[in-house]
Amino acid sequence: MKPTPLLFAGIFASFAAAWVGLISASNTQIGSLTPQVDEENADIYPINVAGIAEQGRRVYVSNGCNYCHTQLVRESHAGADIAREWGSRRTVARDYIYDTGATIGFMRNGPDLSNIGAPKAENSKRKYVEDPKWHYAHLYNPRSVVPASNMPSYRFLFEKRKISGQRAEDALDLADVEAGYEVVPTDDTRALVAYLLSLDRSHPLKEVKGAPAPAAPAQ
Amino acid sequence: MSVPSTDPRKTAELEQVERALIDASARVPVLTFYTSAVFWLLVQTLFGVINALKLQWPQFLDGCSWLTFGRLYPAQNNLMIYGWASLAGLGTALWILARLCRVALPRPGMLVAGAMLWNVALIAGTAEILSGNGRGLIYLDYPRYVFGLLFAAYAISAVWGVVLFANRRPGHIYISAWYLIAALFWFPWLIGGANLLLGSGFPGAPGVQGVMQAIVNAWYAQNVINLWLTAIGLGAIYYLVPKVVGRPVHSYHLASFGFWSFAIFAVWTGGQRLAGGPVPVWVITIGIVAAILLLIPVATVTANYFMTMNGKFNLVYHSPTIRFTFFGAIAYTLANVVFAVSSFRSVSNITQFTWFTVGTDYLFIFGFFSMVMFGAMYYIIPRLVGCEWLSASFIKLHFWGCAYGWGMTILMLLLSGFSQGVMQVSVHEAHATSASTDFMLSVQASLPFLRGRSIAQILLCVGQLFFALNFLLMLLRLGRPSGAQPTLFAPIQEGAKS
Repeated sequence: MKPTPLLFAGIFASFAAAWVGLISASNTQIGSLTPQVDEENADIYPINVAGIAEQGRRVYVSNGCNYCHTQLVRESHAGADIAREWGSRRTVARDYIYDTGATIGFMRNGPDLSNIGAPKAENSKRKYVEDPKWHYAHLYNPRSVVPASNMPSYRFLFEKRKISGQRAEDALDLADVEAGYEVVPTDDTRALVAYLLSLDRSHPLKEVKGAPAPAAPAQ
Repeated sequence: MSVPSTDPRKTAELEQVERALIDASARVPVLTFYTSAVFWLLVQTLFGVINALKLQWPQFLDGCSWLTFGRLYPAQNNLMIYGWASLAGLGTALWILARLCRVALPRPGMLVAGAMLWNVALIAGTAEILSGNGRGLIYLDYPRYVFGLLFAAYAISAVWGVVLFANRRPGHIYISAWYLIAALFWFPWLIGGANLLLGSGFPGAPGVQGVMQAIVNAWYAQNVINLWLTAIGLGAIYYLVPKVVGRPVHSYHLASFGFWSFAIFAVWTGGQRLAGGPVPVWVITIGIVAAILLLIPVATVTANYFMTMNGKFNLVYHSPTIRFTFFGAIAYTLANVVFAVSSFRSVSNITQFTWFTVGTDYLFIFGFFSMVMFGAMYYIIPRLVGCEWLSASFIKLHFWGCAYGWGMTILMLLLSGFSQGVMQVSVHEAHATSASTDFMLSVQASLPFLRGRSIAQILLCVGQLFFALNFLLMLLRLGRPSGAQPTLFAPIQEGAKS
């Protein structure tokens, strides 16, 4: 062959080979997974989050939360994720079938959030926060609840308004707000916290071996 | 050498006229690409300083949603790839191709239109990210329509590179042209393919879902560095070094072997960006194997570079182009070694999901590619504007600003990531205090290095300002008259060209 056709054929072939071998092949393997259905208990996992939590995921991604927080738990031989109680088992592709790839994340400048909304396991030393108000306070000023944090404040996700009638239930308890005013989360913030509290990837999956039995649901 | 003349003096004269015609056709479009690139370089450097300060001083500019770290950081990263690197690379690639194919650029107006559309896309994309419409996919944060604009802008400018190649004068195809043509073909495929697969990035939209998005994203992120930026960077090195040193590439067989092994292995990398993640293990393993095999082309490029430069290394003290490309060539080797070593599972358990991966990316994009682009600009711009760089001291300040600024930034990020990873890889309950949990220890471990990075970023800013000033003077034709010796750091005794 002459050099030029060879050059173009090579450029094309190398790219096409990787496209088929890497992208198409992995898409064949994990591109169309379905939820795990346990027929006895009519138990389906994962369930597509909808409504406010879905809106919260958009807030999560569009504010770049995923640039400092991951949502994946590695096997115990690959890191201390499980020892640190970020999850009771590693996460696998099926955990994300209704998710966007972005939420898996790139860096851990902040802790992993895979199971931030999961129920508290027995004998757990991790701090479990089920109270949305903790999250509101943390988003408004992270250092008010985690003194050494270098997470930025998300004050712009809150609004200060005049109290009309009763003080709002989810208004922040702040010392420096004038009398007659309150700081409340916006709809975006409520959605974001609803999303965070929906994050629970602790449900056992058949493909994850050695995972502990499901935690007893909190009564 | 198709010029039908037997008189060597006449041939040389004809070639000189031909070069002048090519440079005249390239003047406006290539300078438009370069001016845009320098503008976005300054913007992204400024964003970089703000982002670096935010990590150690989270209260800094935190009241405004447009300047929050989670938006400004992706905006900076995307401007780094599409604003600075791609525009500088495209300008350089088109000029070198025109010179190598010995054909004048046929439609300079279309290229200018392409550059303008590209800038419009960047403004729109940056505004979208900052106003909270980013997709959250690394190096693919712009909404899909912005990539549509970028693709159109690319099509109407890069197609002329292919036209040049198709109309080239008969003769040898230089190795530099191989890399550049390959890059021009791979980039639209990468950017188009990735965006078609990813859709809007949100569930329910057409395109792949869940973990597949992460795989496509990881593969794209590594290969926009490999197949697009690295290919252009190597094309530029293979053009500039022989030109300035005044001797051909040491071994063409080695260069051709290097090109093919690069084309075959580079495209398989990327899986290791998800090491430990919820992806099939073989995806990660292929990435690791490819990163190690990629050291073969890296060795050939390195060997060829050093053999071509052999005996001429003193030019590093004289020629700006050689000094910048020297830094770039060493960074290229180093970047690939760091990339391969940090792909190993035992290492990536520590370095994964830390600043280390960012440091590795910056080593490719800034340490290697950007330094080579500066070398190319110092060579090409005098030939386009018809005067020489005004101040050698400005070039010197620019070099040291870049060398220390990027060198320190990268070193600090690697160290910061490593210490962060060492703290994360095992639990240290015993050391945790009431103020900082076990995890916070890893944040604190990274902070001293991140402070060092902030200082480096400020240094870098100063260096880039000197470059921008020198560049502006060239645009205004306030350089030294051409015909004199090119601007050198120190005069050369023997007869080597700039």
